[in-house]
Amino acid sequence: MRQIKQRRIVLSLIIPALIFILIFFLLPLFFIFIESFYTKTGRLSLSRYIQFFTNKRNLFIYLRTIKLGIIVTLFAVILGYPTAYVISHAKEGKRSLLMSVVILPLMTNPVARTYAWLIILGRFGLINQSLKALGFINKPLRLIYTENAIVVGLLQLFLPLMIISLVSAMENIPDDLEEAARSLGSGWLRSILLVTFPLSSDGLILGATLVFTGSITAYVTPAILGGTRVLTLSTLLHQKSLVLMDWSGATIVAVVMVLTTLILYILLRKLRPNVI
Amino acid sequence: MKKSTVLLIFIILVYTFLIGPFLIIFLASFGSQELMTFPPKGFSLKWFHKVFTVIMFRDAFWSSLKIALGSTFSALILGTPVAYALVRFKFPGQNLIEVIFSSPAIIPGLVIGFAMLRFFVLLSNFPVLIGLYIGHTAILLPYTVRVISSSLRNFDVSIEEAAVSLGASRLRSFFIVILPSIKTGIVASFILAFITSFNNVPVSLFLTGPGVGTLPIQMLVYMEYYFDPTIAALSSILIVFTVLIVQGAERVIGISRYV
Amino acid sequence: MSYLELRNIEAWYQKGKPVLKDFSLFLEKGELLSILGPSGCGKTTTLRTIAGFMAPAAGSIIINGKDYTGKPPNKRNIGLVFQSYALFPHFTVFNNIAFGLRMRKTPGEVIKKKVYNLIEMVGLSGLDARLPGQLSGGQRQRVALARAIVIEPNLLLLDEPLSNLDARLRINMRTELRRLQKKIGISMIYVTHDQAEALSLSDRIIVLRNGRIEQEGTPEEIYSHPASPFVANFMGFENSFNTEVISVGTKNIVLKAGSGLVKTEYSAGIARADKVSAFFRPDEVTLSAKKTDNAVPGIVKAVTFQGSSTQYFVETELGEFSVIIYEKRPSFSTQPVYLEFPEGSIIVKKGRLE
Repeated sequence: MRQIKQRRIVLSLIIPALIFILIFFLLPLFFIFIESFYTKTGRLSLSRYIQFFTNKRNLFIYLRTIKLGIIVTLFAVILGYPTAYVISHAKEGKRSLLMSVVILPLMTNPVARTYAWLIILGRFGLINQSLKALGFINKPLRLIYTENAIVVGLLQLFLPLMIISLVSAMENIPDDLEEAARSLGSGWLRSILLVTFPLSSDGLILGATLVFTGSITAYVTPAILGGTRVLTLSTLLHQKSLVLMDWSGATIVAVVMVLTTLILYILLRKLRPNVI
Repeated sequence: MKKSTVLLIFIILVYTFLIGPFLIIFLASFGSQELMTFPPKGFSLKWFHKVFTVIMFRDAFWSSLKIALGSTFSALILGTPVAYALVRFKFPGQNLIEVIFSSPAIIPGLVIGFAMLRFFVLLSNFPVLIGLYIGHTAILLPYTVRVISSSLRNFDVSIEEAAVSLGASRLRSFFIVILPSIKTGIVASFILAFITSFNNVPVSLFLTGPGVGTLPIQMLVYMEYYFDPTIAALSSILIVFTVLIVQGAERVIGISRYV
Repeated sequence: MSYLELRNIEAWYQKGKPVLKDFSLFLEKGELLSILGPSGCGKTTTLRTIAGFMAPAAGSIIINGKDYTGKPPNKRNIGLVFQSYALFPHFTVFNNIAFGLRMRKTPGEVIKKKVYNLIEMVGLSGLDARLPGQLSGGQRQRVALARAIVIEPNLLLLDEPLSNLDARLRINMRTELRRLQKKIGISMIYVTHDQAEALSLSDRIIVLRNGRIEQEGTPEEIYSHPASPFVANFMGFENSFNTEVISVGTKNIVLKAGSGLVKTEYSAGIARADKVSAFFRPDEVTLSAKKTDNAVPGIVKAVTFQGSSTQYFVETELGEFSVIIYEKRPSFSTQPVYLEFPEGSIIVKKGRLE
């Protein structure tokens, strides 16, 4: 009796949202997924995938996207780890201030945020003008529409995610563990390496996954800082669909993007089930 | 070197990288020349004036506001019961439900927009605004479910049981006991969802249509044609508002805990 | 010169609010010193200063004649047992205990020998491969102890090490700790807020209050002759009343007690007509149904049977007092009684209580 009643309550709580998400979200996704396995003539095959990955340009863009993701993730770890360490060891008031500043790039209008890098990296931007004033260069360097520009823009956006994941992992490590290590004769760097680092590895892995998947699927940053010159998967998807109206070509890009992301999340769930 | 000195220098560099660009955009928006340069030449407020006279920005602002408010409310109304069911009950398929409701946060936004355009908007006759509104609600759902679930998890179940034992019905005790005690979580998810929708590009990119554009999309469109500092001025305004909202929300509810 | 000397230490977390001020402390080799005091009295700060986690704003720390004041904690060779144990959750018992030896680049064979030796000494044989999460509270406590001892520290510091254990285990560990300390002859500073613990363990006790030493002495001295109302209260003189001295003899002092008088032992420095405060322990007085010598009348307000004893709350002209009588069953109910003070049960301190 109770069982049945409980099931009814659960169903009535979940059904409205479930129907919404099924119709408007999962169904369309399911359709593009199905579409990716059919040829133009309606035969079931993997030919679209083969076509996508054997096309030199597509493969190059795919690998570039992955490469940029890896570079951004590495920098996020290097910059994020010490920052998270300081934040998690700060007193409550200071911690809150530091965190509220860290999350600003995530909360800011993406066009505004990326536009700032145009001002810094542009032809007449901060860096070029300074270098010229200092006499290092005569004509401006091309800094935007490069892979480096995309990396810088993505790093500003996703470094906060790394820091947040690390801070919440480090907050659960009692301060006295490092003190214990120090009282037993280990220097501060070694205490961090032997105690804090292994105990915050879940946060590191979660942060790295978020930064990497975010980087390979971000749109605004590569669109503004890479333009059509340095395409990534997402700008390619935009180009194929809204510019060239090549719907089926765009579909395969979209599915490849989803699959790359999903494989990572599934791996993560298998290898470190307690991370998410 | 001492640990604290090394870390202090490092932190200053990282924070400069994170928020330095915002200061630069702010300074740049006061320049008087037509072409965006830095450091800016001269001083002028004309770009700020222009922001308010460009009709596409004004319309886009109102559309963005309508969509953000509407989709945030719908996501809260749909998501809160789900969060409650996930936290308070054990039922078969719970894991699957959890995965389904977090999927819009895992699937790239661009793909969501693309899929919705192809197999929903193009096939139906919904007005553009409704399409945007539905798309945004879908991507906000994971945030509301996650934030409200975590507030509910911190809520002592026995308080609800006490209310029920004193004669309140389940529904009633939800409204008079649970809701008030998770209000910070609800406010936090409201703010986060609102900002997420207001700033969204990937989904809106595909779902905007003739006559209806959101603010970030119109900014992108404007940038394709003009290189003057109007976008810098508009960006400065948006950044100032973001800073105010985030700092205020941090003071009052500690928003950074919920991100 | 003593083995450990803290000389005129000043320490603070916030400028202008010193936790320790002009604080000095001495410890002999092989001695077990307890620092006893309520939370916030500066006892943990003292430990952290000795361990090197807090740099004192003034003063110096000398161990065995060498100045340790500016040394980093990892160069001090001081063993530290934390209140939370601070075991490394990702290391096994063996690796937790071996940590300090590894930092000292001890050869693997020696580490093995020393660690297993200690594992046996603290009674953890067979648990060496467990993770801290798989141990009971008492076992974790032993690992923490072994980890601090195995490095053969100059000094062992313990910060409320038993406070997370249940009552029975706490008492067992007390005895064990004392035995271990005697056996390896290590100098030890033991911080606690539990007077029974300090009394049963220590060679010497320092009672700390607001960063100052309130009293210093052997457990016996502090227990029977508390130097101040604060120490008296801490040592179980839970009952107190304000009064004045009627007369002072060579052996006795007579105090005003409401409308009557009570007599107690002579105490130096107390003169006739002094305003004083008087203290007595709940279990050092008795109740009687009939009027006796050296007693004040009162009424039993409440009775709580506690098994081997009964606690009475007695209201008198001097205030309400707690009285504990060791008896198999309560012998008084709510009724008029006489509260009787045996010889020496009252101690007298100059000055009035708030």
